[in-house]
Amino acid sequence: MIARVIAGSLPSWAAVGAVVVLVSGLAAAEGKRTNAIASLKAVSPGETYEIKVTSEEPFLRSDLPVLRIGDQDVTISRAPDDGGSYERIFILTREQFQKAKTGDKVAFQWGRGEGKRQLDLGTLDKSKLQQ
Amino acid sequence: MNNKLNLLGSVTVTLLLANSAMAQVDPGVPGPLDITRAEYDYGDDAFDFMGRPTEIRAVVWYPTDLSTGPFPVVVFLHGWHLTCYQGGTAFQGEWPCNPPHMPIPNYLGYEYEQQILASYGYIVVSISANGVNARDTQFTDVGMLWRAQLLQAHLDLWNMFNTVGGDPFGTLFVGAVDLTRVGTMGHSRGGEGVSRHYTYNRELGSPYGVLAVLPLAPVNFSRELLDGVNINVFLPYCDGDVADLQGAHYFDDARYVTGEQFNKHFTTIMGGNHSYFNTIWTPGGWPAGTWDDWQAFQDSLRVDPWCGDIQPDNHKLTPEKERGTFMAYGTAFYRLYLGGETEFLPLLKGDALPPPSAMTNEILVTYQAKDAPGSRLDVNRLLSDADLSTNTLGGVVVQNGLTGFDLCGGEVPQPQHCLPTGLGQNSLNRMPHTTPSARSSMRGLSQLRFGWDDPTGALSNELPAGTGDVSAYNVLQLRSTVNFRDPRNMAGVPQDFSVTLIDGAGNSATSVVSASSGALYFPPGRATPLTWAIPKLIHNGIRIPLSQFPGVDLTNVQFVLFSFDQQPQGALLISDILFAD
Repeated sequence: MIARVIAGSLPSWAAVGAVVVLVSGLAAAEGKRTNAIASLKAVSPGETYEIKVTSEEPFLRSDLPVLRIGDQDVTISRAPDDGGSYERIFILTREQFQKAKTGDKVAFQWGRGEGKRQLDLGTLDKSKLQQ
Repeated sequence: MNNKLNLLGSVTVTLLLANSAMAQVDPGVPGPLDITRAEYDYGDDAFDFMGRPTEIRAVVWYPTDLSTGPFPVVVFLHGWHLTCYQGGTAFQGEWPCNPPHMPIPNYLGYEYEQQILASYGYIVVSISANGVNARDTQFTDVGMLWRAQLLQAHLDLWNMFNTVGGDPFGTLFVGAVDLTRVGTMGHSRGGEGVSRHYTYNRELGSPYGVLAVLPLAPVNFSRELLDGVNINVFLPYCDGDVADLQGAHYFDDARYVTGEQFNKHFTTIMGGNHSYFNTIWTPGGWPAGTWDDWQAFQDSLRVDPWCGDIQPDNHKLTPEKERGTFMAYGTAFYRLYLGGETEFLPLLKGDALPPPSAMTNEILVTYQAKDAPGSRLDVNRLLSDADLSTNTLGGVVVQNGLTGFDLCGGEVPQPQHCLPTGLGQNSLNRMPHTTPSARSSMRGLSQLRFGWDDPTGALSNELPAGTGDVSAYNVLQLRSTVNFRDPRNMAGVPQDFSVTLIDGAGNSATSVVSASSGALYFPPGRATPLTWAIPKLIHNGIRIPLSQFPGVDLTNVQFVLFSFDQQPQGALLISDILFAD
């Protein structure tokens, strides 16, 4: 038996009734989206590098987001500054960036391991590095 | 008592359960105590992890009359989710929220279960971890130590509330909190969070007595070993998010720890998805950032006959029913291992029917007893090739007419997986017991893989002299799953086989698996497209009561014989043959 509430309150939003198609209400969901490398940037020159990728599917799952560049797995990442769900920024160490080569295949997958479904993001072009 | 477990619509599997094992009490209905709700909030940046601000915020349900305590504590930790919202738009990676954005209260998503537990005498705290979620992928461990330390900080607060008191409760909880009886539940990434917390608390010398850990649809990146504690892993078959059910490894990895004195369970919820366990993540539960993960990430048109929800006779659980499974089996777990209510052990072994509060019968429970005399006698662990000729007891293993007959999924030189893995097919999502872990190279469950082409196929395990007294045990137990890729199994038709015990005098008795278990269902779901996460191989538990072998001298069993004579042909995967309590 539930007697009383002394602090706080039960949510009052229960009647909001959000309309859901697949995933309701995500930031930066407008416009046509593609699976692609959006930018390649040196953040702390000589230390870390950031690859921003875009996807036609939102980056919303609980498994580990993994960017495969050639035979390397990049697992450190962050959301974009605008909080959007269709972009992801992966952070490469200097060693990872040095090992990556122009022409390496770049793909995204959830979790590590072979045999995973991948989003093909194209190939790496290190000449597009922004300092 | 017959339990009709309706799998795949037209196929009905009959579970024959011992009347004596019936659950007499439904653990998931509201209990006798008046309960009260409260929140505490120390701010968005009250906790710091390596320069990252994190909130100290929680909602608490507790027995209104605290004078009858002290009460055990259960702490819930939600999983990864969007952190902030404005109107109908949600944002990720943001913490604290930039005004006018507001926090999404992910921690409020489990109050339905908090209330049930509190009404039986538990202080149930659901903590907010949006700060972790905003930045966890910036760390190689995906924020698991962060989650562990945050949870520990909350327990430290409760230690303060219990000893000297503190804001916002004053002395309300002084003397009312039993921190030697602590349970945890973590959902999704929170599942690994509470697992890491368990080991972190132990690294600190176990200042708090964590006795029960429930990873709910968890990730398992690092393969934390959950030994020294009771666990119950929830695996929802229709999980579209953690679609490979990697949480199966928690159970598999912990089942043969030498001297283990705690039980392991996992609970397969055949129609469950990932998000409905949290009311805030469920469509309609919050103005922004909600989804049905099965639809969002697997089957956008919801057409799968099992997990989609537009087909007639589908088996997808509604949010209410999915939460019912947590209310029944989660509550039973804590009431057993924190409250000492042993009447719930049959339910958590799979010997009792799902109670009405579970709101579905399509639940399969798997149990591994602690390593203690009278609890478990391992006949064949099926871990290495040697086990194919000589079992764990030293007895002879003989097979007749079985094809394939190899081990897969375990340590090298076994093949890593038991089914073919096609690039891009997401086939790993269909093999939870061998799916790779993001931060560990550990292999998965070693499984005996075989088939038969006529009903003479058989597998015999000898119990050598001096090992055949099984009279202290209640059941013969194994785990198995139907190999849905093998054409010898007819789609949609469950498998079955005979089990015979033979004693030293030659007396024998036979039972069939289907009389005791529905575990040999044909894994449901559309085989195509190949990218979908079902059908799945899940090694669910099969427990055959020894009472089904009349006339056999249970003090002198000499052979355990499996005869594959119930279907003309077939193919199975088997693990963990043992006698158990």
